[in-house]
Amino acid sequence: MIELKNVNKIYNDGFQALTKVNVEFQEGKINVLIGPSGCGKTTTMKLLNRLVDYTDGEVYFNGKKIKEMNPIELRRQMGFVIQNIGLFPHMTIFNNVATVPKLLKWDKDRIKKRVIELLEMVNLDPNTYMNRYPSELSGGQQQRIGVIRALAAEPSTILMDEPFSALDPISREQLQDELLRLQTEINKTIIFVTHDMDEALKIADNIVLMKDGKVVQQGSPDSLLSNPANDFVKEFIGEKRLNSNNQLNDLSLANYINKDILLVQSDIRIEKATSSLIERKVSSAVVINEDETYNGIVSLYDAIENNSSEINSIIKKASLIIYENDKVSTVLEKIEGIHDIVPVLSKEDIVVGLLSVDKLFATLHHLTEYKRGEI
Amino acid sequence: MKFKNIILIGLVAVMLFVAGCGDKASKDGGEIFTAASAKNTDSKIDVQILKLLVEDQTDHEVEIVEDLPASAQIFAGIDRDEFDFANLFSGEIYNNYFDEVEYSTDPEKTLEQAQQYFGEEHNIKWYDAMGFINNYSIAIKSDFAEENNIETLVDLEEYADDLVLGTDNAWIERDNDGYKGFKEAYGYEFKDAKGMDVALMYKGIANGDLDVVTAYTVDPQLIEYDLTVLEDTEHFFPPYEASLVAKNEVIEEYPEVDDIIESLVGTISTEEMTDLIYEVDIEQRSVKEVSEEFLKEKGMLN
Amino acid sequence: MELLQDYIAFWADKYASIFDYMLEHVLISLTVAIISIVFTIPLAVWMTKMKSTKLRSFIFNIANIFQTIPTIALLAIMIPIFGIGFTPAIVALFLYALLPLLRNTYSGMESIDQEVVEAAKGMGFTSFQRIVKIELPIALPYIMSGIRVTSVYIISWTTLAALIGAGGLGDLVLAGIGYNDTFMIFTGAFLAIIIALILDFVLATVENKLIKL
Repeated sequence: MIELKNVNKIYNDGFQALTKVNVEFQEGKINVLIGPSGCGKTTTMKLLNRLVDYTDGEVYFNGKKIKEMNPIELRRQMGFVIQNIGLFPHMTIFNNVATVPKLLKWDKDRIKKRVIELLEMVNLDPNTYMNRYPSELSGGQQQRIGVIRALAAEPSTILMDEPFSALDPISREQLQDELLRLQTEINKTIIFVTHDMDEALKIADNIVLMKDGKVVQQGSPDSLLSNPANDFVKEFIGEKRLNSNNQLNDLSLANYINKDILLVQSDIRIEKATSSLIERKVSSAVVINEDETYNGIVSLYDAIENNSSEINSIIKKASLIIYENDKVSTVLEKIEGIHDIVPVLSKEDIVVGLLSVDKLFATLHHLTEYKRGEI
Repeated sequence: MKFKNIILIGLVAVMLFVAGCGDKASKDGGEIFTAASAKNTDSKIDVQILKLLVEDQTDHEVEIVEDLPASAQIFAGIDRDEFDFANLFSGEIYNNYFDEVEYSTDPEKTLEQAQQYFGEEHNIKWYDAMGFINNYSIAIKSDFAEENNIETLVDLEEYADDLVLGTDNAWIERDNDGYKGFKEAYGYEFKDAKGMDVALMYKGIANGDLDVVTAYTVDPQLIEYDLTVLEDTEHFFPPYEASLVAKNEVIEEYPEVDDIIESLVGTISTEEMTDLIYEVDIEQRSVKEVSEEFLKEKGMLN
Repeated sequence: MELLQDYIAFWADKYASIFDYMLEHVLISLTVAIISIVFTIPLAVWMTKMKSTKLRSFIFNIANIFQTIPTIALLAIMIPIFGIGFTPAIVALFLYALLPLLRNTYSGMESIDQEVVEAAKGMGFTSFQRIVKIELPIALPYIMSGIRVTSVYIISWTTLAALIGAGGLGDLVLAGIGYNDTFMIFTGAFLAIIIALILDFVLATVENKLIKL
């Protein structure tokens, strides 16, 4: 874990770059430092590997004060990816990736194995790319190398200084996706500096928003979106993003509950249920108990197949049930991969209706179209 | 040195261009002649004297082109009608110009050969000697000479093994009158022989890095650094007697100039020239001033 | 034809001393080149790292002044300190070679992308490792072109060594001028060119080898 406590940074010319910065970077998460240019986000990041030294306060790395650590050793424990890639132009891709392992004097076989593994991790064929020079690669490929170079010596922490900002939008999206995929495998503590809010919202577990050398707000993307601390945060996040997020949260689940549904008692005969289903032209019905609480669901298919008398034998549990006061966003998280009908219950487990999945997706689609069109 | 030469060549080119820009008449309606001198001060004084007398006694003017690297460049200028007069030395005749010239250290024979061969080759009149001799010679520090009672080059032999010789770059390579010939004539050689710039050569002997130098007999540094010229008992060094030369077509057309140059024959002794050079090189006075003073003393100029 | 025969005769007569002059020339040039490289490149690297811009321009000015001192004056200054011959020639030529080598190395180091330097720093290179493994190799093309240009200069300037008794092909050229021998002048100049071409070729080969490393 990395912790900054009351850190001030004053340059020799008297410029105060950081004022009382208190930040906690969460272990194994993507921590994004964001803010307008000159806000101190890059300075904050460079404090961590002592490319910049702070004036007072304290920075702890795994409980140790970094001022008491050898900067060279500290840096070798942290991966470092910089904005303009910074690959060494006179070295092959292999040697670039192998830089820190070589500094740490790993043996040759281990280095080679590691480089191959890393290249494969970002889908670059080792045989093709190992002996090439950086100038022979596209920008996106170069920054993939920049990222795996930082990973090479298996550091616990990786510092990334606007790593994707110089790339074209398509490569940037790809690399963001790749970083998210990689992170599920490697679970590093990542400190990621950016000025791009979309990027932050997409990849961050934890956002630290800075302005004029001070931390304005920190928390999960959701908490920033739903509870912006002040007007600056609102403005920086942007009305559109706030709106689209609010609209999603503002959506009432009530609008997507189909109350006109077929309910059947749990003690009726199958024949009766079948005829009701056919009559109403629906394929499923919700089964309720005598007190109108939820029991299960039956499908027309099961009803026709099975000619026994009691309905009990064909009642199933629904794959997903939701409650009428759930948030739309919560529902959206759960709904993926569900193909059954989704019953909606009240607090007292009384069946209120069925979730109208088609209608919900139509609304969502509309919202995202709107958001993209604006950006 | 190289740089200096480039500037020199540039200057010369500019001067020649200016000189060639039409045969302008002098102020008094006479000709404007050009006189050439190499970079040694005695030559400069000679052509200055010529200029002073010509301009004093005739309506003509003389422009001087100085600091030419060596005699070959002066002859080239004469052949291309760029120079009318020059100051040259009889010993130049052994400088690799003519295969048929017979090597001799006899002053008269040397002068005769110079007059004959150079005269024919370049269509010039090589006058009789001005009077001073600017020979190669070998000099050592005076105190060393006195201590060991060394007066001649023969006397020097017993010390030669411990002595370092400094000389100009050409002397080591010269055939008859160079180091090779010296070794044959005197039968010994020095511990080491180094070719270098003449000015630096004198600094070297003053500083103690050199023990023996090849000096020119009129060099004022001989006085400045208290050096003694050793007697050339074997008459090894060929004589370098200074003479003025003039293009035949010029003196045929302007016999008054011929008279003036003839009048200069035998007027300056070696001692006198050494004093004049001393005034210029060591006392930093101008060539013109020193030349004028000399001519007035001699009663040749009012 | 006659000229060619004369020239062949000239060589037959003088080859031993010509060979000596050439050897002296190569020895002086190489000594100067090696001393300049060993001294100047670390100096230039240090200058790119120094914080005081005043000190840096002071060093550049000194190097500049050495270039503008007329040769004969510089050599005259040398005599009381270093005497006559090899040593003062080496010192004088070294002072002349200082500026071109310093400038090239300095601008080579300055041309390095600061991002690359930052990346190296951030990855935990020590200053020494960074200079040797990252910065010098990247600046190598500049430095090598500086070395090549300066070496050719040095070979040309070495003809000046003849002025202070250090020998070399300048002796042949100056003797040729003094003795009215065009063959000497031509041979001295021609051989200096040949040496310069050979050295340039060797350095170009070295440069290619180094860049491929």
